[in-house]
Amino acid sequence: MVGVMESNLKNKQWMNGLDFLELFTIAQSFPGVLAINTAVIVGWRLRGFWGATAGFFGVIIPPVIIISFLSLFYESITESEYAQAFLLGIYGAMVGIVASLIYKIIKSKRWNIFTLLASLMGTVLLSIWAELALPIFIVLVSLVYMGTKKWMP
Amino acid sequence: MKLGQMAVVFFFVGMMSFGGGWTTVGLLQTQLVGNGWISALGFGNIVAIAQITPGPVSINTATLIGIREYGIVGGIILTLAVVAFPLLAIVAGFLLSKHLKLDRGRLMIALGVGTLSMLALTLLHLLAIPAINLLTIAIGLSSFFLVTFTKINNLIPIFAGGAISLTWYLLNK
Repeated sequence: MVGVMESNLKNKQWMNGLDFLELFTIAQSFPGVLAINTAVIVGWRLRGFWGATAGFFGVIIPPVIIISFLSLFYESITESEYAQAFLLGIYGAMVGIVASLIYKIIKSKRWNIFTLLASLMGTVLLSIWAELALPIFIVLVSLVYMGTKKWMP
Repeated sequence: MKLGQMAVVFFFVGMMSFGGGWTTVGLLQTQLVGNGWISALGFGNIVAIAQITPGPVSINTATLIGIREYGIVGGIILTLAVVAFPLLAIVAGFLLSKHLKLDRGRLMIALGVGTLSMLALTLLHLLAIPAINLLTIAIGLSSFFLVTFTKINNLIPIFAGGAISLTWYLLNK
C-alpha cells in the first residue's frame, strides 16, 4: 500500500522520494496502521489539517466499503463447508507469516540479552494478564527505553 | 456485550498497535474470545476474511466485527475506535515535537521489544485454534519458509494455502 502511495505521489509530482521516505519513517514511530499514518502525515505536510483529513478518509473508506459489502455474505461464506476448508488453509498460511515476521524482527535488529529477556518477559506477562495488556506494554517499553542507555553501547 | 465496551477494547488495541497489524490480532483474540464475546472459530474466520480483503488487517477486523454485531453504525464506530489513538498521537506528536526530545534510536529499540512480545502473543493464540490439523501445519511451515527466504508477496501463500486446503477437502469428500 505504501509503495503504491509513493509511486503515485511521484508521478503526480506532489512529493519527491526523499521527502516521502522521511515522512514514512516518522509514520513508523507512531502506533496504528502504517498506511493510514503515512497518508495522514503526507496530507499534513502537503495541505495542513484538511490534507491530513483527506488522506485519512481516502485510505480508510475503500476497505470499509469492501468489508461492509462482504459482510452481507458473511453467514453464507462461513457456513459453507467449502469456504471453511478455504479459510482454514488461509489460517495456516497466516500462522507461517506471523512466525516469519518474528524471525525477521529477531534477525534484523541488534538484540542483546537485555532486550531479548525483556521481550520474553513481555510475552509471558501479556499471555498471563491479558486484561492488563496496556499497562504491561507501557511499562515494558518505558523500562527498555530507560535501560537501553546503560545496557547498550 | 455493549457496543461501548467493545469500542473501548478496540481503542486500547489501537494504542498498542506498533509494527504492523499482526501485533494486534493476538491481543484482540484474548479480549474478544477470552470475554466470550466471539467464539474462537468465529474469530479465526473473521481474521482470515480480513486478511484476504484489501486494506489493513486491524481495520478490516474492526469493521467486520462491528457490522456483524451491530450493523453499519457498529462497523464505523469500531473502525474509528481502532484508529482514534494513533491519530491523536500523530497530532500530539506534531504539536509537541518542538518541546519533547526523545532519542529515536532508543525509542525504536524499546518499541521493538514491545512489538516482539505482541507478535509472540499473536503466534501463541493463532496456534491455539481448535480446527488446526496436519495439512494446516504443513501449509503454515511452507508459508514460513516461502515468506522468510524468498521475496514472495504474502498474498501468494495465503491464497495458495486456501486453494490447497479446499482441494484437499474436495479430494477427501
